[in-house]
Amino acid sequence: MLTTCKGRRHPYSLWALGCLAMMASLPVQAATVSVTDNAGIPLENAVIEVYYDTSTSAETLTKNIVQRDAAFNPQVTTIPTGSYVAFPNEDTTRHHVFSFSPAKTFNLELFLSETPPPVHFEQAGVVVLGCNIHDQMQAFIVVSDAPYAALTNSAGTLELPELPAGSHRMRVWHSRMDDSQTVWWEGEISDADNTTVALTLNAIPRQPPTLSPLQQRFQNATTHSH
Amino acid sequence: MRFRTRLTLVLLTVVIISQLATGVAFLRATQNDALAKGNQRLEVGARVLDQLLDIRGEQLRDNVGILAEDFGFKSAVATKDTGTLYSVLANYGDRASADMVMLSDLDGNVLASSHHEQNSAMPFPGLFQRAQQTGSGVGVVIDNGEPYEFVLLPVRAPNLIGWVGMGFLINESVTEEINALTGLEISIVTYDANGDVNYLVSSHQEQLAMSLMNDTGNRLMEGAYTTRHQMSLDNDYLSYASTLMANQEYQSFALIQLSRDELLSAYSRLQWQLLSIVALMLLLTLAVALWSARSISKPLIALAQAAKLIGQGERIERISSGSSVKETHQLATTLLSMQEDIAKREATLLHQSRHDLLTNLPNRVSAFEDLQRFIQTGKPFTLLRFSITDFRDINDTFGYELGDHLLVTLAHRLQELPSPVMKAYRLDGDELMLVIGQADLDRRRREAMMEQISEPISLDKSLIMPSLSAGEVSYPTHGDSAHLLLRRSDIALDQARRHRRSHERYIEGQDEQHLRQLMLIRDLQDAVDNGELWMAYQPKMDTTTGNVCQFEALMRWRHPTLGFVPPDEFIGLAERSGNIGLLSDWMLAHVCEQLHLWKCQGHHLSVAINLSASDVIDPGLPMHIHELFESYDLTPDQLALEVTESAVMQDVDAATETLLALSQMGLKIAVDDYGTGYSSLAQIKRLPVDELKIDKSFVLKLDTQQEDLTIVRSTIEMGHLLGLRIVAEGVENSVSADILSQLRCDYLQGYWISKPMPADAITGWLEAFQPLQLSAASIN
Repeated sequence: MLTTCKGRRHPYSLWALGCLAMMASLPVQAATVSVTDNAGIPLENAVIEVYYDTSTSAETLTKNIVQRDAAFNPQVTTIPTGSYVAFPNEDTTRHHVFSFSPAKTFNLELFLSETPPPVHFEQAGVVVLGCNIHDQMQAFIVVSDAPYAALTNSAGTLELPELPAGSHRMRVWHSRMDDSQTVWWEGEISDADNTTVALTLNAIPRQPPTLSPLQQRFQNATTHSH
Repeated sequence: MRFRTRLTLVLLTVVIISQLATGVAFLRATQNDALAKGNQRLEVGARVLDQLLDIRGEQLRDNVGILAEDFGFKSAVATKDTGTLYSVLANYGDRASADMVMLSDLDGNVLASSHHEQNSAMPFPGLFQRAQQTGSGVGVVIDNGEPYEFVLLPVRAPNLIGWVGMGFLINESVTEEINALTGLEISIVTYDANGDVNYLVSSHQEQLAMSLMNDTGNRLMEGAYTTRHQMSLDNDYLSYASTLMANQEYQSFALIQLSRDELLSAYSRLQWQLLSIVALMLLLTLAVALWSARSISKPLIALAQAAKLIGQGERIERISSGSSVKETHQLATTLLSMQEDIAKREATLLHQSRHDLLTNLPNRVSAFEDLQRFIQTGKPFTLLRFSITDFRDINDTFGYELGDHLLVTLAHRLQELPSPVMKAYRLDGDELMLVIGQADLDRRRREAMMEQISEPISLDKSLIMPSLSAGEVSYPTHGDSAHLLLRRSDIALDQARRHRRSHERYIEGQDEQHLRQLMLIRDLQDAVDNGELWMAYQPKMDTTTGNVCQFEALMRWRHPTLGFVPPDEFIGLAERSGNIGLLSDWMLAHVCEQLHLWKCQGHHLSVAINLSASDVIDPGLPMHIHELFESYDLTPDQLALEVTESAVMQDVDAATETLLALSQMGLKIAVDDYGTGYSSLAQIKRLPVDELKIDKSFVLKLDTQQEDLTIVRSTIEMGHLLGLRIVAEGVENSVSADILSQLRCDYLQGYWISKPMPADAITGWLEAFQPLQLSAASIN
């Protein structure tokens, strides 16, 4: 279920429009988008989609999300619609990767080294990955219909490629925006615009992964066995 | 108020107040302690309840947590198929033994619930908010009035895909557990907005719980028991409430209660014990007070009675009781010694009242009583009553101290006298008395006795011979009563003193004479006013002419009962009693008036009046006479004055002065009764005298007594030589008249001429009067 731009984003949209009007006469060059939270702290792994008219749609990919040290790696992956993602397990424990997200529901029951066949994501949307055995494991796959979608770096910025002149629809998502993982920031961007997007993070913060005494014991046991 | 009552009341008051104060303080402390303990228990109960609910909550959360993490559950939730959700929730709810199961989406909208409509809003927004903030929500919620412990947990797949909640009704298991753990009564109660009980589980009996909760609802909702422990309204329970949950519709409380009976059972037992102790103490106090009061009041009453008896004059040897209490014993001793003191003082007073302080002789009162006593025995006795002659002079000369010494010495001597002298008394200032046990005192013995008494006394280094006068009366000869004897002894003594004798025995009749004199003195004052006095006039004859030349005015008194009183008697009494002035005034006025009357009748008469000693020295007399002359139109020749030598002699200077003044007024002055007194010619020479009146004692027997003749003759010759005229009174016959005439006596007065006559007889007598013829034969 996709949700379009919400009313409360309007101030940013207007601000972006104003910027576009001022810079219309400047020469075309690549724009940089910075994503922060409301407090101005840069957000890594924010997904930025830019919609523009293009003759070619994005090329489908096959990506790997590795389970290592009881964690998905990378945490956030963006793929064009129709791409495949494989879940190789590099841990010595088995994992049970699943998703109940509407964009793609799947269930890869307990597997170890024999990587199950890649999962095909044919519907756009955010897919939340979990492991039934390790509750703290979480990863996101953003399946995007946009011609351009990418992640912010650790500084919270993303340098956009050269875009056609004019103003384009832009969407920003971050895992902490909303628990439903269906809320996007919507706005406009021109190719020459350096833009900063401040996101309101509504998601309930996850408890930092602490090891329970039981998990500790088990971890110690597995470490020693190596 | 009686002492016993008072003491009892005081003691009872003290005991009651102290007991009450102690009791109240003790009971209050005990009650407060009991309440404080109850309060502690309630607080402990409240903490236990909190703890229990917390533990339950934790357990429930763990249960629900396990469920929420269950993959199957998550898978089912992820399907969002209502039917599946219902069966999943029912299945998992049963597993967790939940009473309520609910699943909501991320916004809290109900996806499926055992108690709520699908798609309805989150029924427990507060808890939901808490859960959103902290990742889980555990707490008490009220659903449809029923309190649940509710756990709301996120369902993560692995992102949050919804909220699962499970509720556990707070029911009997909770109240029973609290009750079992703490022994406190606990009720979980929910009130709706109207204050009605909506839900109730209680360790109380059902009906009791219901009524209790109905009663306390309003107060609970006002927060009455939540801040501190309080007695519930009916005072049956100490209550402590903790609010489990409150929203606009409902309020749910856990009301922890402790029965007052249970709480205060020890206290009320103590109360009764204390009460009985107080009652016992009161009884004991009453008994002690009564006993104590009795032990004090009994001797006090005895003392009071003893004091009353002492006051009545009775003599008490000892006062019984009171020895047990020191103070009353002391009081009894004091009373007895007071009795002694009173007796002593009485004796002293009695002695003083009956004895003379100076001489210590019994006094007049004693004498009187003793005489009565002696009379009663019937034995004859004699009273000898003394007075010291000129005692006053002795006092004046030697001083009172020595006068007293004299008295004391005499008294001592009287007391020393041997029998038959019985007793000595001091009756008055200088009067002493002896009682002698004999009917008649023979002269010798008496004189010896008086001599013994009158021995010289050394006074101030000089010897003095006390001179005594004595009056004697005998019982029963002179009277049979003490009064009579004392009075008659006084009369006898008076006689002795008057006659300057050392002794006088009472003579029968003296007393009567004395009484007559007293009566005359008394009546004399009224005599003037009552017109009992009148004047008699006796003519004087001029020997040369034989005519009447003058009248002597003589005062007369006819007493209403005693009849005619001789002028010598009543004038003497008047002089002694000081009434002579009264008589003189009356006489002067009367005579002057009479002269005036006679003058009006055509008789120019002359009257001689007698002046008393006090008249003679009265410096106002000349002026008085002058005024009378003025008012009655008299001339000085109409009034002549006669004075006795003795009257003049009492104060010669003053008398001379008065007489000179009168003489200068032209009044003739005669010396009366010449020859009986001092007959001091030296005095007469100095006085303005015109006449001498030879006393009638020389004249009466002039015709027979040669000595009288000689005296009269020489007196007349001497008078004439001195230029005085001579009057002879007491001329009673013609022989005497002739002799006097021959002796060249100037005037005659006497019965031979006329007796004294009343005034109204004078004019008639004068008209009938023929001049008398006297033979002028010479006498050899």
